[in-house]
Amino acid sequence: MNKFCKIAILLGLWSISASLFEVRASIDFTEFHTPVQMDNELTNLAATHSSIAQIFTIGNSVEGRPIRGIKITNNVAIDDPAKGDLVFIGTQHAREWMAAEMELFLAEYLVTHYATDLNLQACMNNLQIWIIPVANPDGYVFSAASPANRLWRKNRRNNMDGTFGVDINRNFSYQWGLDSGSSPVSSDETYRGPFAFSEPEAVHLRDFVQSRHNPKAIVSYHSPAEVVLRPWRYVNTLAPGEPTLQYVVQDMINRIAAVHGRTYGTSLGYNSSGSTLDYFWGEMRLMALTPELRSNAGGFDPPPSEIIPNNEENLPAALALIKDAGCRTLWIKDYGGDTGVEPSAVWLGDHWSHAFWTSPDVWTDVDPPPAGGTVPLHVRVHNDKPVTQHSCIVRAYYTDPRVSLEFPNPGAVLIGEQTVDLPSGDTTVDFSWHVPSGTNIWGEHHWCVGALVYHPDDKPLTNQIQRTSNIGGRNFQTVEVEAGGNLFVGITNLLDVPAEFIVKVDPKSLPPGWRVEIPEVQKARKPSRKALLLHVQNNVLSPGESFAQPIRIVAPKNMRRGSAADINISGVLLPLVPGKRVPMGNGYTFRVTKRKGS
Amino acid sequence: MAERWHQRIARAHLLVIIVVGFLAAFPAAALLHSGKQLPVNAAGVLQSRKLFRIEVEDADEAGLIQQELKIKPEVVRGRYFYYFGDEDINRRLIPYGYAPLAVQQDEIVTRLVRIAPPKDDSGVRRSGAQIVLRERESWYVRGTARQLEALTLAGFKLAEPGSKPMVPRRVQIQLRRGDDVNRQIGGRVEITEVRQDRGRIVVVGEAFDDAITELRARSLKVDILPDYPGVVR
Repeated sequence: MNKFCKIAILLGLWSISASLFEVRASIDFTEFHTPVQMDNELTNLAATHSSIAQIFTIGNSVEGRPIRGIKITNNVAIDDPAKGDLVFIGTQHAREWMAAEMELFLAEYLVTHYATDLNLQACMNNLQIWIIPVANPDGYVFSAASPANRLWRKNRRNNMDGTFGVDINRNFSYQWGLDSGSSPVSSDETYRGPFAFSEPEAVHLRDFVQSRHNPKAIVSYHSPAEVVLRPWRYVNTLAPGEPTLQYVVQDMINRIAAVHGRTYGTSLGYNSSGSTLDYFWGEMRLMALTPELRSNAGGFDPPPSEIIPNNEENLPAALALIKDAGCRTLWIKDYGGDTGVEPSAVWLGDHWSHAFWTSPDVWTDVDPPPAGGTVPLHVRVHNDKPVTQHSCIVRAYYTDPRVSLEFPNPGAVLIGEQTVDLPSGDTTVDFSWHVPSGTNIWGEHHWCVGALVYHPDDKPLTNQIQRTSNIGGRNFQTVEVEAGGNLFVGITNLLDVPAEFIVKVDPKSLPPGWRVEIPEVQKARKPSRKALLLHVQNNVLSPGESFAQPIRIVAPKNMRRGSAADINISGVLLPLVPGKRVPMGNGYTFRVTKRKGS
Repeated sequence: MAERWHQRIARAHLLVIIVVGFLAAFPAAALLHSGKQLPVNAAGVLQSRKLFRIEVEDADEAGLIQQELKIKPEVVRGRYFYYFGDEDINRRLIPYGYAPLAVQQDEIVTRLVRIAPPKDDSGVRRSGAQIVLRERESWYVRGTARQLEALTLAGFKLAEPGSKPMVPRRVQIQLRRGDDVNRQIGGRVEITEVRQDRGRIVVVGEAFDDAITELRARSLKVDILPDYPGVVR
């Protein structure tokens, strides 16, 4: 064979392998994948895009199968705490194969568009995207093993009583055990398991999400109801942060409808307790959503012809969430030096790293605002895009101060809402605030204002100020506090579970010589068994309960009269729950002035 | 020649011994291979360990007991945390205010078995066991050890449920407008659709016969719908 022939053969082989690669790079969604194919496709995606994709495992199922996923980001080998974490899971219910197809489609879209869609790339570089197509691998394999198994829903736990399977999406601990949509009977389809987190599939997902440094949202695809669900699932009441949850859900529905005209609903008409959604919103205030995908009357066994239109119509909503989580464009400062980084502050064990309740972007013309007066309230919103963002919603609320504050929360009063176009740069949005004439529930002239900005391309994904740049908060102190007198720091448990509270004064904010006294208030009631088990002594609040912690700030004797100090007080709630206890809280600043003798 | 016959007989004996030994060692495999089902011994449902219960507030408290005291529940039902324990385990619980109480295993331990379909429900009902699913070739029944023993004494042969998954029936339940779906239906129906229809709420879902019986006992109208395509009963 001459040299020319050899080169021709090599070129031929190269072109065949290149065309094979092209085939491999485009996944066929005209049929449902078998479990082996699903696994192989995921492996191939990671292998062919190894600089931005990597296979990971969160643990093993009850039968020992790995629960695998694909991580997508730049510098994929590094677990980067500075990046946000966005988690997509599918097929928690074995027969809901459409969910796995959607996840695989999303993964393929992201890795194949990373290099060409620079806007998407920028968002992806700020995130670690974790896609777990099959969160119930045993059930999925079983449901695909024979036509007789096709409608299998649960995992494959041997219940040791002649039955198999636990519904993983009823096995999470938040409000587990209620008879709303979950069953104590092991043969039932909605069997919640013998106890909360009895199933490794639920435990591994909980531990994985809680191990993330900066979780932004979790999306759990199900099928086939064609709705987008949000917390609460266990009860028919609105969850704290509802306006934000509702906005995100409606935006998803709008994006889904824009593709093929199918309008997804927002409710199933019934509840389910022990769900994934309620756990992550309830215990972490992590945006948790369940899009129930389409079936087109095929129930749990839709025709394969539905896969592609389903994936097409759900993709834009998933991409929008990636934008929300990864690309900040509209934002409000949380404190003077805030650059919009999320989170803007972290709990350091005894205080917040930054006083994120001192936004310079929220102010009144008269400060402190007079009790009973009406004052102009201004909110400055930064638009980092070079273009105007139209129809942005800016809302402002006020509420009693609490070191456990969230915006929005059920107790907050809406000052106003405006729909505005926000050009590139800074825009000030004006409101008129009728300042309460009386005192807050703690007997003080002291209010907290929260401002939020919503846009379809940039939405808050939580109601915790420090975790999203779309919310800014500011304390307004309508009268000064005298050094030496008693201050009261309010705490309300906005969680649905009892919580320990911690109130601390930021030592950095205390000028030299000033002292703080925080007397421990002995509560008369017996500590609960949960508190005893966690060795928590006194500071426990039941759901909805409020408490005023007295604080005394003493100025040095040699300090001249009129001297003042801005004292930062931080607080958190730590729920009395097993596993990682995620701190949720806030803080406020008092201007303390030395008067005669104080 | 005779020596060869001896060798053949010895080899044949060896083969018989191996086969018998295999069958003795793996009776379950042999029975399954023959298409029969393993018999269930009602007494074997119970464990030799002692069962206790304590009262807890909710799932979180149960989780904290597991995490902090390393006591694993057998089941958490209502406000009760059941566990197989002993004096040592109980001693660990008492300082936290728990009052362990020994209970009968019948309180929580039940088993699903398969029986040949009888002419009617009466025999099963007399035993107190629940009929979970009536299929053409077998009925699936759940009972405590005592109830299964009663079934056996009544002449029923109990067998393992087998590997074929039970498929719930598709049901349609009618409620009055304004009824609370969750309160009326409880958690035993896997609801797939809730819709309004001429002043009523129509709930479509999946349930087994014991749950359907419960719903009908509460005077709810439950209709059985055709199975999903492909379901073979």
